[in-house]
Amino acid sequence: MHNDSFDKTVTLLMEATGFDKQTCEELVNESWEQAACLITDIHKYVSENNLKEAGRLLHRLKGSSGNVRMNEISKLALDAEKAIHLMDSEMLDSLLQRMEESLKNFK
Amino acid sequence: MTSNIMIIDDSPQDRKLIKLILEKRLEKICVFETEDGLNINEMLVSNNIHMCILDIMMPLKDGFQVLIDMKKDRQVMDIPVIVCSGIEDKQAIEKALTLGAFDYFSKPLSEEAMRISLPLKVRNAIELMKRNTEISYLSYHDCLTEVYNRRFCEEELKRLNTIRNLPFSIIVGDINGLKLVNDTFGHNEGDELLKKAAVAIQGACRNDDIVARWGGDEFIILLPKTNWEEAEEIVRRIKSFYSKQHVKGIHVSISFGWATKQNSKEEITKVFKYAEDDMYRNKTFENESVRSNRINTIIDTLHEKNLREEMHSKRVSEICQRIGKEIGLSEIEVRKLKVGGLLHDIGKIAIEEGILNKLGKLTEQEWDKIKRHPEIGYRILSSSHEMLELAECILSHHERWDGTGYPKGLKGEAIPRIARIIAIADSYDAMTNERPYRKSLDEEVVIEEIIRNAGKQFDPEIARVFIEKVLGKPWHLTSEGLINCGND
Repeated sequence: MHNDSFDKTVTLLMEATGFDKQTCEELVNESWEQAACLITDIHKYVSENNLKEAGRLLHRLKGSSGNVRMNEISKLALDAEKAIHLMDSEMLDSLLQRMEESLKNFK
Repeated sequence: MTSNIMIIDDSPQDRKLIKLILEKRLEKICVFETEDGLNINEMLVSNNIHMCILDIMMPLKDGFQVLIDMKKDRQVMDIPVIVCSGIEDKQAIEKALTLGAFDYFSKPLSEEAMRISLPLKVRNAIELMKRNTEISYLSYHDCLTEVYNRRFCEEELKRLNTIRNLPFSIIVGDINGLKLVNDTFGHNEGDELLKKAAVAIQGACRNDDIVARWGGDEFIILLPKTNWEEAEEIVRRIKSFYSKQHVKGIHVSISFGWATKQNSKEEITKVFKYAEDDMYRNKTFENESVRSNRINTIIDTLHEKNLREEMHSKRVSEICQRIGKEIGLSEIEVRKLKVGGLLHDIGKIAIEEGILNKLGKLTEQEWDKIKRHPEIGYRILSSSHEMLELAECILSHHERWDGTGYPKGLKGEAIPRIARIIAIADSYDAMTNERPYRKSLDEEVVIEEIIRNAGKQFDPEIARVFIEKVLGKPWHLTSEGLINCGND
């Protein structure tokens, strides 16, 4: 059984797109998996101090997760992009950690 | 027709979502995907893409660079691009639109965008592209033959006129007999002739050669990297294809001329002129005898279709000669009568067989069509200089002595004498032989009819010579019966 967060996201996506439940579940699942991969890569780039690539992946994560109505991840990715602009590494670390937690609790 | 859409986005999830949205809302679309902008122009061309959805932030090559590269390439510069960027990124939107993007949408996609505006923007972009493609096609193609038009050819001539395209050959082709076909069978058949010529020319040319209709009956072929001998081979191939073409049984031909630019110093306009001059020289081979042969072909075709017409023409020719001799015409005039008798109904080639052979009474419209045959015959014969005088006689062979005939309503001696003779011979033969719509008439009845119409329909003097000297009958009326001369 999916927890509330997954089900809520699927419902929101169904409302937004008019797609059936199975299609939306598939889209949300794929995005969840992709988000996990992206966060791993973002961590890697941050540790290498390659903030440009980290910023690009955060931008992609923000858009893709927002599209499928994973709103919390999308919002955290937006804040993380801002943290990169502000060169606030402490804030960035904190936001990446919150994203990981959010993903863990998502399903 | 399927519309082809390209999604350029580094996120597979976004590509999938956009594809699903478009496939749900739009019909007859085919969605292509790519994760970056590398080699995008080639992909757009090879997949015949009608519009693009382009992400801005991508690795390797961003969306701005894709837009810049597309706008530099004339093959893809008109493809509408809808860009997508973060909702807060106003600068990116401004830059993309400045670079020529058709429209934009923001990520994350709103419900309104997914359900309404994105599919509609895509549909509008596709329609715009299709309209532009059609307009572009029409502005560069000849609408009849669908080969390129003169405008395109002139532009290509400038574009291809470079050192790397040397030797650069130009072929000029001019269709022979188009006017004759137009005048005889109408412009629809003339158009068919042009279409067949275009097909033959294109069929003989290579993919990179430019085939264009330059004017009415003139075609141009631009051959980059082609020497004189290769151009000659192409001409030979076209002639071979075209020689099998015919319109209403008449074989048609094209006269060609060609010239080759060998080095960069030669002016392309002069090379073009050499090719044109060469064509006109070759066209002189399409001389009088060829035109006469074409006339023979037309009359043979008419007679092949209708044996009765052949027999009638031969008999009329024979009667005409006999009248000519009896009234003391010169040998040359008698020869004209012989040919005139044979060709007097040549214009019937353009009249439907159903009308010519109709068993019942002709309708008014059918009769109007029949009445066009002197005029059509005139046009056919006047295409040959040596037939010009005879053409006038053929035009007048249904004129009447009293001025009530057709097509001009000429009266008395204004009608050429040969035409007056043909008119009598034609009427006599028509009445004494069976027609689809009636049986043959007795000779006595026909003679009385001719006597009765002398001075009305027929030249009275020639009518008298015909009755008394050619037929050896007395010149008097024995009954009051009236019949229709019906010499058609």
